[in-house]
Amino acid sequence: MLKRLFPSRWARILAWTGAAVAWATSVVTVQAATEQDATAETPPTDVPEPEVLEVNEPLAAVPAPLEEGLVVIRYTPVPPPPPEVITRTVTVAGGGGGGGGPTATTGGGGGTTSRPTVKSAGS
Amino acid sequence: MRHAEFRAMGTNVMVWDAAYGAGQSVQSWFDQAEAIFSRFLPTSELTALNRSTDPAIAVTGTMAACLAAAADLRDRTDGLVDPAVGGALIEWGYDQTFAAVADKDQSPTPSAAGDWSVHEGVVNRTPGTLLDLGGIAKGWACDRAVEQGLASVVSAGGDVRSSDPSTVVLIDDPWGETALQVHLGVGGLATSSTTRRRWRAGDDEVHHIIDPRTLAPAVTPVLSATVMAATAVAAEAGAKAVLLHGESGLAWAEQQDWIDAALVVWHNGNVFATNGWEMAA
Repeated sequence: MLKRLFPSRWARILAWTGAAVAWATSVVTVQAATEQDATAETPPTDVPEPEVLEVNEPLAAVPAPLEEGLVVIRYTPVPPPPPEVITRTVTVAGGGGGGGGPTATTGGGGGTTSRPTVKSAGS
Repeated sequence: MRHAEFRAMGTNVMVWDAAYGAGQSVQSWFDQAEAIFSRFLPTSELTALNRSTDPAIAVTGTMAACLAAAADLRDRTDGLVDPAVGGALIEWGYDQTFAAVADKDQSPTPSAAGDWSVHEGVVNRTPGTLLDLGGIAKGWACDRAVEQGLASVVSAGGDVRSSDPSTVVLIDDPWGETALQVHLGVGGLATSSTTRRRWRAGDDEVHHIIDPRTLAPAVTPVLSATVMAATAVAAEAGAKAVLLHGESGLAWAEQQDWIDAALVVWHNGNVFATNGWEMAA
């Protein structure tokens, strides 16, 4: 077919050369486009890295500062043993929330007291 | 001053008053309150409300008043104290009276939080919103008992409301020691703690104070928080918010004009407070 289109030997060589150059040019163009896309996917260097959140952050040693000053009621350098966890069994036994049993401790007996003295220990 | 004690709403209730019979009157009121606000009684109004699929449901005046107080406190605490965590509480395992709560094999995947409002005796909720009025209802019941003149001082589950100027409160730490002895006088005081009402869910030991931001038991350096305010229900909400705020809890409390004073027992056993406590001898 080429012989019919290009009867001259030099014309065929010229045609093959042209085709080879065209092919090489297209390969380079595709490669350049690919590299350009890859470059576009790379984030700009000025975008900050996502912050890595610590899941198990250590608990703060003291509360955040207060405007009027933090009042330290009790401070011991050596932490006490873990508190006894009040579970449901304690709740059933009557400790639940009220901070334990009756706490009106002053004054006369028979369910009377000179002033209400209440305990608050959470629920 | 006479003193009486009984059990209601899953906790010990203590009553002080000069008049004979105040304890019975308060007990009767708490029985009524439990019949309305209990999440566990099948016949309670709250159970009916939570079971209903109607987006808008009419409630009694008592329920509406308590929910109005809860809505106000939800706003004051920027949503940190919200009864809408009822569904999460159930998912984590607190699905029956605490005495019957059983450990769970695994931790749940928290579902979305609900939304609710109350207006002119009608509660509107997004579908699936379950309300829990545990702490709020206890504080509110103490307030109503004193405001109705049933007693001078009522304490329920760490929530105290007093109309007696001489009232003194011993704030206990989780070790059972008195962290601070304060003069409350007329007003409210409440303590919220993560060391009580605990159970296991999978590998985790969990507790009943749900953080609405995560719908999981709160992770906080505060073992217990105590707040003094005008009413017990405000103190209850304030204490829970301080606990949920964690490291910044006292700083937050200091900025709230409705909180008179706040105190925290830190995870390492130390005790810190804001100004405003009046020590009692």
